Amino acid sequence: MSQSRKVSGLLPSLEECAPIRGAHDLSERDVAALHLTQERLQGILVGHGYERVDVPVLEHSDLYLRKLGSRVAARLFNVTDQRGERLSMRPEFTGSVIRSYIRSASSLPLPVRWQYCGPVFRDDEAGGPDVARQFTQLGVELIGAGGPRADAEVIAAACGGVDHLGLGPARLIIGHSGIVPRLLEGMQLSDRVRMYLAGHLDLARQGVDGVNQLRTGLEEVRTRPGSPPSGSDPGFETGAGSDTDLMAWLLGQGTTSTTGRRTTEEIVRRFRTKAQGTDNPAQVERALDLVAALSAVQAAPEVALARGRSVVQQFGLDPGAFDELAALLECLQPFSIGSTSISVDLGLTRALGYYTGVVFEMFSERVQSGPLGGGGRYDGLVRALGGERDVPALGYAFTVERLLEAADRPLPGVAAQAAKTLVAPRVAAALSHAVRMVEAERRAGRVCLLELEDRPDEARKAFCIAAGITRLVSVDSDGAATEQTVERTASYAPAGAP
Amino acid sequence: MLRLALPSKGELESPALAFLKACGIGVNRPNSRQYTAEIPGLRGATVLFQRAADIAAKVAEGSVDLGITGLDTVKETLHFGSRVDVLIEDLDFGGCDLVVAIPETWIDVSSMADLVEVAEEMRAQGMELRVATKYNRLVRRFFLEKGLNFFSMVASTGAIEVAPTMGFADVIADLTSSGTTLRENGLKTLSDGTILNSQACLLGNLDALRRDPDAMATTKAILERMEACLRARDYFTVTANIRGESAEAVGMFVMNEPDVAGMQGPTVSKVYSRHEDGMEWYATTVVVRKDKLLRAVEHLRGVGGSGLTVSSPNYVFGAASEAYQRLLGALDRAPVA
Repeated sequence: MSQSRKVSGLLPSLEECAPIRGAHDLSERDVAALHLTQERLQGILVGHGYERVDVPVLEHSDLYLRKLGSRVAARLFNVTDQRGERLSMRPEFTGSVIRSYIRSASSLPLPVRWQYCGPVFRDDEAGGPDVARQFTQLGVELIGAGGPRADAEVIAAACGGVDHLGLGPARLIIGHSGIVPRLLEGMQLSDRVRMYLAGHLDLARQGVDGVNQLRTGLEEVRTRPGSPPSGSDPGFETGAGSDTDLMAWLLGQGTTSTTGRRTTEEIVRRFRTKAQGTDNPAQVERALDLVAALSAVQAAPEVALARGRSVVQQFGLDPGAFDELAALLECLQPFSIGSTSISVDLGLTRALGYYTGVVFEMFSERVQSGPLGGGGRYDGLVRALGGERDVPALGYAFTVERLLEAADRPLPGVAAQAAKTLVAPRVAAALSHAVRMVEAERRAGRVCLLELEDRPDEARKAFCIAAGITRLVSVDSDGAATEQTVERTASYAPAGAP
Repeated sequence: MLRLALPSKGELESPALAFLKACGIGVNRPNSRQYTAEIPGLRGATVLFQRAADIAAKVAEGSVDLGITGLDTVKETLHFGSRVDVLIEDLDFGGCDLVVAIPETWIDVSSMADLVEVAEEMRAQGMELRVATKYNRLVRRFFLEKGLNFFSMVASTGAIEVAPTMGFADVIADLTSSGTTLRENGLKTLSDGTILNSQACLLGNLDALRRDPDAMATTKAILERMEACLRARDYFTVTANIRGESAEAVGMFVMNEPDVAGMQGPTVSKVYSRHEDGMEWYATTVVVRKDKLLRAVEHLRGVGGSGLTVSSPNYVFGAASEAYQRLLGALDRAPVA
């Protein structure tokens, strides 16, 4: 029994012939649809002045770990190269595009308008078979332009793309990643609590359970003085003890003196900083209330802004935090955005962690698996990835597969395949005539295939029908050609053909 | 023939054998050097002793059909998704936690958020936080989910607890059941640093079970016994003699408190004794959850019970084996190889 299992293990089973979970094989038709969509969107973007660039599929893992945020960092496909360098397959383009920009920044006039298209890879351990692990992103980066006009132009370009593809009405949802962090700055909280809240806003909109989860998380990150395990306290709480006292206490507690590779000084320094920045629990709870209240605001732009400002005023904070968002909405008005409807969602968050300003997502009713695309402003990224100065920038990316899913009928232009001709030499001596004919056809811009097999006429006809070939030319040794039109008849239709 | 893998040595070995014995499917292992054994109470099964750390992989590759091992190694090794299914997640032994532990002297670090900051500080100094662990995959995912992006793994087998003292790692992630070993090595845990609550579990290879109806039937028998044995641990059987006019009347009395009146209701049977006042004695038996024992005793006394005896059932069977139903569901969902 074990013998037979071993043998069968050598041959790929049907399952092993399938692509990996979350990736797909594409047929001619799929590829044509994908390319056509890409070409159309890229054409529009070229019209906006976006130049096409490309970047490698593999990058140093660091590039993504630095700024992506844990939701995407945890989904990286990682590899180690033969020298032991840690590399990752790109989970998105922005990191690479910005890296590429930084390299050539000095020679580029700002703003830079770049567009890209290609596959991205995101692993997903828990995800089911429907979670895509490879998909195609098409997007733009507008680097070196700040302010609402740039925001509006980029958003309008995204809407224009969806409109141009004829995908039917789309919903544009706009939020702003800078509002909550700015409001939290006025609330006497430690950096840690602020960053945690700003990074977990998605929980705040998941009702009572989400808010409770947020509260539990905050309890963990809330900065509080470390409690000495036992024994005398050389002024820990008050910060009165000297560093020497603290160190003596540290080392004298009967513990081993293991500190890993950190020095005692480092530990003590950080301990003191931490003790000074202790969070007041009531203040943390207030911040949680604020975040929960703002995250619940989803409405038409004017209504949402009014509600947001009123929430902020109740908390005695500055309603000026909404000015940028309001300015963007104002700027967006003269742009034509087709049949797209706009709403504002103050709790909108994106999986990527680098956004600092306006964020947006586009949805179609026909696609349930997620947004068609989205993006936002990430003014801090250029410096975070090694740029010498802050450069304002924003961008977005579409998931091309979702755009295709949103098209309820095949995109015009995909269905009509080019007419194909098959040229068959009747005898071996006819080959040179046949080749000349095939080459002439191709030069004339037609699709022409050379018959590679000697087979009976009936079998050849059946092949033509199955392969979608409409014209069959048979060539004799003297160069005489007989032409026939192949029509699909019921008896020739291959199994499973429509 | 069903092939069942058991831990050959280490902390799971004897509890696993004891558990099977309690389930009525004790293993007959003539001597500890022998790596195969039989289960006399279960025809059609053969036992293979393997290293606990290898068992998940053996089940995944299909060289055994079922295995008992720690959930930690299962979660760490299983890359094969739907082909292997955890049939019973908690066998009630081998309990331990996979935790992050740091030097006790790091008084500034009490949570993962602290550790994230320390890692960033170290990175600013050109170092990377080093973690020694046998659980690369679980630890990596846990760290990334907690926002700890910059760290390196130090491959380590054997005594991981000494890695920080030896200086080749800053922190460790390892199993602990009481924390004693960690403390003795000058390490402490973090408030939110538990990666996994682990215990022994039973896992099976779905393809192998699907192929072999005999193995499937034997698996059903194993699941039934394990489940009934585990369920029995939650219950006591309480018997009391109660005086009453009739069995129905006694039954009704006892049913007044449905919470402690047994799984379906009491079993009431007549006791043949000399009676002086026209009342009869009835032996009344209820099966109750362990945490309800004292309430059940009070209740039975309250309705006139005396001579109460309490015993533990060996098995409690439900209407159907839940674990077996789950297995059938998993077979339905899993793609056919």
